[in-house]
Amino acid sequence: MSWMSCRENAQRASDAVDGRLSLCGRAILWLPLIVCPPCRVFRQQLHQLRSLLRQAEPTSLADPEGLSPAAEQRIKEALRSDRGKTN
Amino acid sequence: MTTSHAAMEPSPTNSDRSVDTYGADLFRLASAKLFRREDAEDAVQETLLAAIRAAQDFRGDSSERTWLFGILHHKIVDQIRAAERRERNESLDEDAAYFDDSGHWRNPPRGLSLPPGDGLLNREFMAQLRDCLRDLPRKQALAFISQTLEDQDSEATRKELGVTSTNLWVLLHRARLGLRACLENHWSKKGAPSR
Repeated sequence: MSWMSCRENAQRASDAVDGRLSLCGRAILWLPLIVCPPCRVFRQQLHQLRSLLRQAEPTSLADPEGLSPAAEQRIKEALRSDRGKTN
Repeated sequence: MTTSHAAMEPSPTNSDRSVDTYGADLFRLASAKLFRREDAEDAVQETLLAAIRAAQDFRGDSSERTWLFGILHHKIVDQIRAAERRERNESLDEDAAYFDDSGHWRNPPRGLSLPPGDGLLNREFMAQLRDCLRDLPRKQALAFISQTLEDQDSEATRKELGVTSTNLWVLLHRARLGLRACLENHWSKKGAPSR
């Protein structure tokens, strides 16, 4: 039955995270997970990821090295040379 | 003549000063959404270029920083769209990478050994997470970050990316499939952090 395929289970798990599952969909989500351990793991992983990232701020994932002096220089030069092109 | 953006009006000292004042912060946010240093640097450059060009027309009804970050958001999305045009479009059935014809997992999920406690404080893990996000198609990564980190309204994310609702859910689903596979592959191999 296609509603029990792993592909379908994974889609439903995603839908659940997005709050897109109907009441009925949520009710039947757990059954296929009992018979498919990897699908259960997938759902757990989605929850793990979500709770991990919930604590993050937008800049938590920024490049830890920041804007390099070389890049700063390049950008400054680009801005200066653009001046000659405007108007 | 507007005064609040006089600082942005074209002049060599003003353009240098704009980089000194805003460059690091703009880069920080851009790199947290684009995950490739060159892309983030380009976005910063495009933002400041646009700001300096527009400064004389700007009405000055919001703060300079807010205005600049607004431009940055647009430039980030422009970048992603340009990258999509350059590269081939992702295949329509990307799910085929994860599931076989019967709909079973090609590589069944085994488990994520996320770092204990606050994983965000684990530098190695964060570096791996960034690498995995960089491996995702850019639109997927941005959709995932906007929706998950910023807890942005899905409508706002949809508009930011210029996609339909259906496309947004597909992007998020694929991002999750890719991200968790990448983390399982790379983080599990490293094993638990040695510290």
